Amino acid sequence: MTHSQIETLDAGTSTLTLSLDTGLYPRDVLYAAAYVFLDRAYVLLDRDGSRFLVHLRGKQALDEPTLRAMAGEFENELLAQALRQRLVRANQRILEDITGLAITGAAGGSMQEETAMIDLQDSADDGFLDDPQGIATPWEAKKGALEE
Amino acid sequence: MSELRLGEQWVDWAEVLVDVQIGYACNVQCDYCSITDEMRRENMATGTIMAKLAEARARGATRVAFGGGEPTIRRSLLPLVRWSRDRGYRSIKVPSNALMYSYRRFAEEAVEAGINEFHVSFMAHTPELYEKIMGRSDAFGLVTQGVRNLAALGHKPVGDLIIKSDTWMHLADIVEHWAGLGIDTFNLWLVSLSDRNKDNLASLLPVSVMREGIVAAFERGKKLGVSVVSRHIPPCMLPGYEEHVADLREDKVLVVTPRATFALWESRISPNTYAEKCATCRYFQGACLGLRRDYLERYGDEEVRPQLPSEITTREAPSAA
Repeated sequence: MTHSQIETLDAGTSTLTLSLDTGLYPRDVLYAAAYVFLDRAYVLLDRDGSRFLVHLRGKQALDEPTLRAMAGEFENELLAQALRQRLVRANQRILEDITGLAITGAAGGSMQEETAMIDLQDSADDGFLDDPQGIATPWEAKKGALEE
Repeated sequence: MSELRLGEQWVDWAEVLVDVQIGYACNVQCDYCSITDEMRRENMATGTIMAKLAEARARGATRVAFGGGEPTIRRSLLPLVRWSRDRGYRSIKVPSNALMYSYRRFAEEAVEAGINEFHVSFMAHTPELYEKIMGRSDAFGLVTQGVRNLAALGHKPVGDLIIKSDTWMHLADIVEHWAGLGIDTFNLWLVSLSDRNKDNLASLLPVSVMREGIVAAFERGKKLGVSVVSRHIPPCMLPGYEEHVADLREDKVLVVTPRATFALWESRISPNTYAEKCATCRYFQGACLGLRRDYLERYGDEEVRPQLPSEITTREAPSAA
């Protein structure tokens, strides 16, 4: 069994247990999906071997069709959260850079004004200005000179 | 109070050491270095470094480290240090091979800019071994001059020593030599079999083989009144010297590299892997971070000795860990 399934459903107690393949959904995705249901149900997460167990108990009385619909909504939410996590991961570097620059600007003053000595675009600005013994020369450059 | 999640811990940003690996370029090629030629070409743009530091500072960070590679050969290092100091970073650390500090003027500028935590990787205690490891015949003399320059400016660097196949038997003498120049804190790091050094299997010997030299360094340190701690070896491999085993989590280091951001102890070159038999140990997932993965893969768990609660008398596992 690799997909999710309803393990138990009891309209009398408004409870539902779903089991999920642990290999299919990262734990963070499960937490995020469960979080969405906190206002509608009491949620308990558990594990049984290679499967996550999600116990949901409605905060209000729920009949069987409503419980089945809730199971389906939970499965959809898992998919939505998995996609969301992928997008966040893919765009994390961009988000960090934008946020960093925004905070830098908001922290007061212009970065350029304060750092006239710094070339913001340099990425490998190696080499010490006053280096009579050539200590600051990167090893690769020395190696290259020797090989030529 | 703003907090950052580092691994399983929540840490106040004011306690976090933001360790920015500004680039992997270096002026030497040590024989055990794990930085590949490809990595050596990776350098963070200065604007990116500033943006990351500005963000961390806005959250409350006051501790920064500029690592590498060899950070002192980067021309923008000292302007970055001044900028960080002026932004409110109070602790500014730079780990280095110390060659550049042999220039008195550079050492002065480094101190003036605001570096106040100097760390130096001491390879050896003799010119010959220094040259063998670092590949420069003048390295020992330059580092010695660098340390003297920093001392004259009122700064005692922290010494970082690498435990490997040709240094373990000299560790005590290395400690004594550099203690003679005023160094009073030494960290011992186990050579890593990763990236460029992954096939250099001979560089890493079993701890049980090197233990005599490691323990001798601890004892020499005690005799000299200097601190010597190990930062890569689990306490069960150094019985009787558990108090010399440091917990990397206590440093609260957030590593920022050109490729990723992570807690130091989550790095693949940090001890963070347990053997199966560790599950019975009192330190398991507590005070002990486990072994380095590359060590476990190389030598297995034969040297691991799970410690039962009744065996422990020297350390208490932190309740929050």
